[in-house]
Amino acid sequence: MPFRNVFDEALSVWAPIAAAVFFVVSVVLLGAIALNRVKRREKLPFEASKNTPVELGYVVVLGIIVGGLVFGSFLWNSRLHNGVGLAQAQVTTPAARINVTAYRWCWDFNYQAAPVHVTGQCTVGDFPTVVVPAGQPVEFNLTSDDVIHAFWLPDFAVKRDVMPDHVNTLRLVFPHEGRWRGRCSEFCGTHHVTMDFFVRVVSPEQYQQFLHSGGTAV
Amino acid sequence: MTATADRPAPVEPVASPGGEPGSIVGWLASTDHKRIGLLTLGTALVMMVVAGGLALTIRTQLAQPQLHVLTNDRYDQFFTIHGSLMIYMVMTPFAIGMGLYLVPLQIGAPNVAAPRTTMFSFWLYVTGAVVMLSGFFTDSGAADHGWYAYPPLATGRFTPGQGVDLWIVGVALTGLGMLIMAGTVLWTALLKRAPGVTMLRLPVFSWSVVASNLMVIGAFPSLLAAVGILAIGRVRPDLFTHNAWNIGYQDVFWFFGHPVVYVMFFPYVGAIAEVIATFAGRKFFGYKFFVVSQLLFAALSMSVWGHHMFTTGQSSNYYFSLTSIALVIPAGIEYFDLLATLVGGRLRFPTAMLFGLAFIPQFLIGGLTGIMAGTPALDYQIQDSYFLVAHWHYTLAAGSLFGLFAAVYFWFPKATGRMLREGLGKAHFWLWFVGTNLTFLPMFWLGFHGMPRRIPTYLPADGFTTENLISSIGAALLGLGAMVFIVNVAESLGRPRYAGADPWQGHTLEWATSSPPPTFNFSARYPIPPVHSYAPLLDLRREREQVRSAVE
Amino acid sequence: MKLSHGVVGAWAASNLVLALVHLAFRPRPLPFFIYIGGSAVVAGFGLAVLLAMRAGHDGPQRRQPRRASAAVVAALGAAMGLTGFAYGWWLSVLGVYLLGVAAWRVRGERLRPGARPWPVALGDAQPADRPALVYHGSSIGTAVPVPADHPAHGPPPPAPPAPEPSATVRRGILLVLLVSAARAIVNVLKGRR
Repeated sequence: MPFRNVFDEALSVWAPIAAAVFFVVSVVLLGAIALNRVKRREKLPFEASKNTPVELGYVVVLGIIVGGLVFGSFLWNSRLHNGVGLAQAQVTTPAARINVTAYRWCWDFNYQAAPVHVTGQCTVGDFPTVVVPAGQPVEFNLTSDDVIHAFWLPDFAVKRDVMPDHVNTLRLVFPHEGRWRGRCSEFCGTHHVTMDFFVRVVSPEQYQQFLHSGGTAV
Repeated sequence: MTATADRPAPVEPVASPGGEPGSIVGWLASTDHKRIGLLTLGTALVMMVVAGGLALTIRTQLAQPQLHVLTNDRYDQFFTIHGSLMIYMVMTPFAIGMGLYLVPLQIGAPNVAAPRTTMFSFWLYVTGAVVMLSGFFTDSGAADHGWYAYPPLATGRFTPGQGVDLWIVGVALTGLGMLIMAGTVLWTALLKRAPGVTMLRLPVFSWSVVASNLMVIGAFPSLLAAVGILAIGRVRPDLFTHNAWNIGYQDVFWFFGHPVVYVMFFPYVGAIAEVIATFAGRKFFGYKFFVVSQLLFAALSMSVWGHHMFTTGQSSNYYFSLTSIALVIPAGIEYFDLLATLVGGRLRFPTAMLFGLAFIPQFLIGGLTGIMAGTPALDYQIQDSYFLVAHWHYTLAAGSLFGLFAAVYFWFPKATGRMLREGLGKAHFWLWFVGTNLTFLPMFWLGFHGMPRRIPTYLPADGFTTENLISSIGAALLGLGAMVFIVNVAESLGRPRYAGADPWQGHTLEWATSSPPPTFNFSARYPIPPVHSYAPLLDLRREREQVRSAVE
Repeated sequence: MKLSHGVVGAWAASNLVLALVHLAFRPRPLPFFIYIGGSAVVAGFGLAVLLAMRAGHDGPQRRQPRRASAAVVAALGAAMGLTGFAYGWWLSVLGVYLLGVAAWRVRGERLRPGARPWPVALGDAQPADRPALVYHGSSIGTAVPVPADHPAHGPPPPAPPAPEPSATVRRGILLVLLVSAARAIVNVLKGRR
């Protein structure tokens, strides 16, 4: 699950910085309001309308901060291979390559290794459930039959647009067994809201069983 | 406040051939930049009320799980038109219209350059708004493809009906109108300044209009191209079975769509700079740094549009992340200058100042989360989620709208000659301050917990109920605050308390003339004072004080 | 200091630099050329500012139009013309008629050089007095000649008005309009769109 890890790491750097900036600005603002009311001040605290050295120094500080942030952003993005997730070479088991087709308003999952096909109506009780092996890299090849959709797994912090006439690849590892919800997050029309699916993560043995049985036994 | 008492009776002009100057026709076909400006601002405020009504309906539907105030399709129309109105018909025209009203006054010009062309652009804007809204009266309803109208969804194949056609026409008309209006205002600021008003003595607000209108010139042609492509797609939907056209549309659209976000920001931050400098009773701190950073900000914000497309897998994510994060530098300078002005001032707190002060931390939340959205690794999670909804509502509603109201409370006496009521104004402020944060803060959590944007309802099991309820309560406060504002305006116009020429001890040239200003802004009785800096009236006041203390 | 065109030029140039930085990230051609195009539009605007300045069109404008009714009609015509996209081309034809009305109304809107709009407003004008929502506006009025030594005479002599289109061209346009309108009416009557 490269996305979740990178997301958590990036957020754990970003959130404290953002909180610190917000704190500093708020303190300065509230302090100025508390101290500088007309009632309390006879004269202006300072008259100067410019201070070039201070501002230039501040620009340098900002530049350093921006440099750090850009470095972090590039680093994290390269660890996600520009949004793909894992590098091609890291996908060792071709069994877990899945072609995903989105259409209004549901999903088709076709396994490349076996003639297994998962779909549904995306109505209550009939959401498609894609079965994947735990701990092994999984590759999704995303495309759309009609309009632009987006393949979003909120719990894994991963999203990729699903576009017609174009295949977007997504490679990730699901570490634990379990069942998670996926959603369409790019507005696609009337039933956009119910265009959900489930990801069921099973042990590799169960996954092989699932493939051999043609998609029934799990 | 300074109410004007005895002025000599005006010399009544002799009967004018062709109708009363104050008549309806005199307004609707005026060539006075103040009238065209007020028409634009007034229309934008009316559109804001409409868009706010749509938003309140949306929040009603989302207050509890599985409510069905609206059908799915009607809900889609509501959020589409809410977004389209706020962006194309409210924030952008109001920003450009403020420039139209104030820039000629601030630079000492008698009128905007090309006033008839400017009036033409106002009418393009109004008809565009009417055409877009008329979609609600067609059989298929208004457009329901979202405010950025991605094909293929917006083509005739997936969204048939005249609503989308009318949306395209409305956006094209308004986009063209705003392009022309920004052009004439920019031309005025660059070429029609009074003697003594050099570029480096332009007030901060006028500079922010220059920066913002430069972006309009560069970016709005792209909007016209985008809706043109969309119009072709309405006739020939097969065009958008090719990926090149789909991703191409996104590039062309966002090349307009991101700069416009800053068009909806700069004039408001410029207005807040004026408000804060005025009520801090001091010269704005760091003028040159502020001006350069505004221009740099504007240039950079032309180069960041691809961060709307991080998840498409077909955009230069590294480049757009670099430019997006680089925005921290100019934004940081602007914040430094605003705060330094505050720290070095003697502060007064009328309503305009309250809105200006609240802008600072609230927009900061929008900006900081914006840098998160500009980091691809984070954007892969928050793109198209409620986190993003919260983010840009913090920039546009908690930020720019607060700037808009600061500007309204600040310049209303200048434009109408009447004071707004301070008590009602402060009630409006506190309702909005609480309401805005109640409405939009919970949306950050909703986004992190997996609520996609543009969904008409949700299930109890989703766990979104509490946050959505808080958000809807906040929205109700916003509606209440807006009503207080409307009452305030009606009260001030109906039972006027007259404002003098300069009720706030302003800094810039518009406060040197009467309220409202005469036809050509300055006259023998209200001449243009000597201009030696970006705060000429403050200079005059200081000189007078020095003379007085020297005499004593 | 004449910074005006410099501001626009420098701004367009900095956009060009940002666009060129994009090249280092190997962009698809379209985004790159959009950005170049956007910068070029701004540069064109800057060039227009420079030329206007060279031609002496800077400084406060003295010559003013007295009403903008042609602009209103033209905007309505343009709106109707574009709305034809939703309701059929016959509406666009009607829009063209409005544009014709606008062209007819535009004559005489702008005051003669040396004349100023009523009430006399530049230099020695009455300001708006009692603060009220009444403007004694520039929108409607007659032309009053200004004395020769009045400051309202701006330094540069205004350009002569553009020549009218020749009668043949006007007749040709009229003919085209009439034919298309006739076809539109016939089509509407036949129930075709």
